[in-house]
Amino acid sequence: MHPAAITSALRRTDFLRRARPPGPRKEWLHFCVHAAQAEVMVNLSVSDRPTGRDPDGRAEVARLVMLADDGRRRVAGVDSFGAGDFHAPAGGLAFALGGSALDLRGDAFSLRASLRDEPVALDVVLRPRALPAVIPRLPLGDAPPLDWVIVPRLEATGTLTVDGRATPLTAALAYHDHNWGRFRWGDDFAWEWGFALPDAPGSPWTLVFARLTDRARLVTRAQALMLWKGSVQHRLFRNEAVAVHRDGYLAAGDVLRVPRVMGLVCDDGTTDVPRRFRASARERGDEVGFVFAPSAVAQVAVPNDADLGVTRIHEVSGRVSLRGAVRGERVELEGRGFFEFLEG
Amino acid sequence: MDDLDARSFGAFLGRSLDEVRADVPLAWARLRAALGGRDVLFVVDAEPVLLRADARGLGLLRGAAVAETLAARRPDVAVRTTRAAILRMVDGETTLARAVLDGAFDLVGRLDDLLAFDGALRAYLHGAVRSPAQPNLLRAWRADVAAPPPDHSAR
Repeated sequence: MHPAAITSALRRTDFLRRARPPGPRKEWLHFCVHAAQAEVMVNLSVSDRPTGRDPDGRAEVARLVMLADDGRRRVAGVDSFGAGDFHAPAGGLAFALGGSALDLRGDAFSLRASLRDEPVALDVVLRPRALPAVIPRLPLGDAPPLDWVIVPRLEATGTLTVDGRATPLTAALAYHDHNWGRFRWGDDFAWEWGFALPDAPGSPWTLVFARLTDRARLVTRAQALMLWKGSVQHRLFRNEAVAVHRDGYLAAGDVLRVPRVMGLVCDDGTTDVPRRFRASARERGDEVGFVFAPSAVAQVAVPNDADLGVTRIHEVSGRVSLRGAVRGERVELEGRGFFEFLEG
Repeated sequence: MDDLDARSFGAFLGRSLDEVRADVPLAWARLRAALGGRDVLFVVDAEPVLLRADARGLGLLRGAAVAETLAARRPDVAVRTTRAAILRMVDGETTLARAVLDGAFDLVGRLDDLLAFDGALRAYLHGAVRSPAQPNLLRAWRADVAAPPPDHSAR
């Protein structure tokens, strides 16, 4: 597919909403790059946070979350920026906060990101190689629904620098998505979300998975297993067509916790990450299944908006093995996965 | 903050509590309720600071006022630690429980008073992690960690 067609679709769907009127708004842009010897996650967000200082009880805050592994060290951190210290105009795809910035220039994203207090920096150009998919109105229980745009495959070229060591990124496969909604951390929801990109860059398959539940994970509200072939979404299995299995729990081990100060309020040393996560889908003669085997966990601890509790978001790297058949065509994907398990 | 005050635990704690009170009223209310009418004496790098909870609210005493108050009334809880130990916990290099077990965060008091202090400390921490001014306050307090702590022996 011509890059201009993809970019045109991006500009029509992936723009910052910055919804009005104010409320418990949350909006984030997520990027993950998987290179041969390195991987990096960057999340740029803007949200309303509750405060006693404002008569409306809210103040805007932007955050940059980075998680990087250059094969020698894992580094992670969160930087926050108050209103006036970031620029993310509605209707566009530009986001500037501190020394970090995202911009859509021509047919590619330009992303520069670095943390104030951790020795990590990313400077990369990401070229979308798949059309965006819009998944509207994901149910969050009593909160208004969450909206989602997925760009499941990009090619990233640039440099990841950790501890002053530069790791080149050359046409590394990457993932991007964008969510926005009005909810409070601590509300009655949880999610499992993830994607997988193939080891072989010539493989056309990309996997995206999501399941939304209540906070106790007793009630599944929505789930989807999505396959892209090349630049186009090839198959979507939803709800009753999907079955999910969590096997055991991953031993807490070496969990990278950010921000580090949150260890003061949630140092229980446990995680809700499964030792193995499996999902299968079956519908109208098509059948696909995958296994995700976690290997590295970072825990992002978020203070609840609704109370003095904490929501733990586990960012998990591992291996994905997918097999199946869609419309009589064999589907196979061996590659790296990145999953997120939200736990209250 | 001047250079001396920047290194003072009492100055840092006072500003931190002010920010929690303004930004996270729920945490402030829980902190006050948990402490009840108790006094907590902090001794950080030999600097004494007294946190008083009474009907008027929460107050922080420093310097000579601490000694005068202690002459009339013993604290309900006493905490002895160092700035370095506190920053190690903030930086995730150790946990509060480990710091207590290692003796880096020494707690003395009756069991029910210690439990009340634990509840108050957790309420304060939940307020602090939600308060956007705290990182800069910590940064300023940390800035002179290599320098010796202020000499409070003459105060």
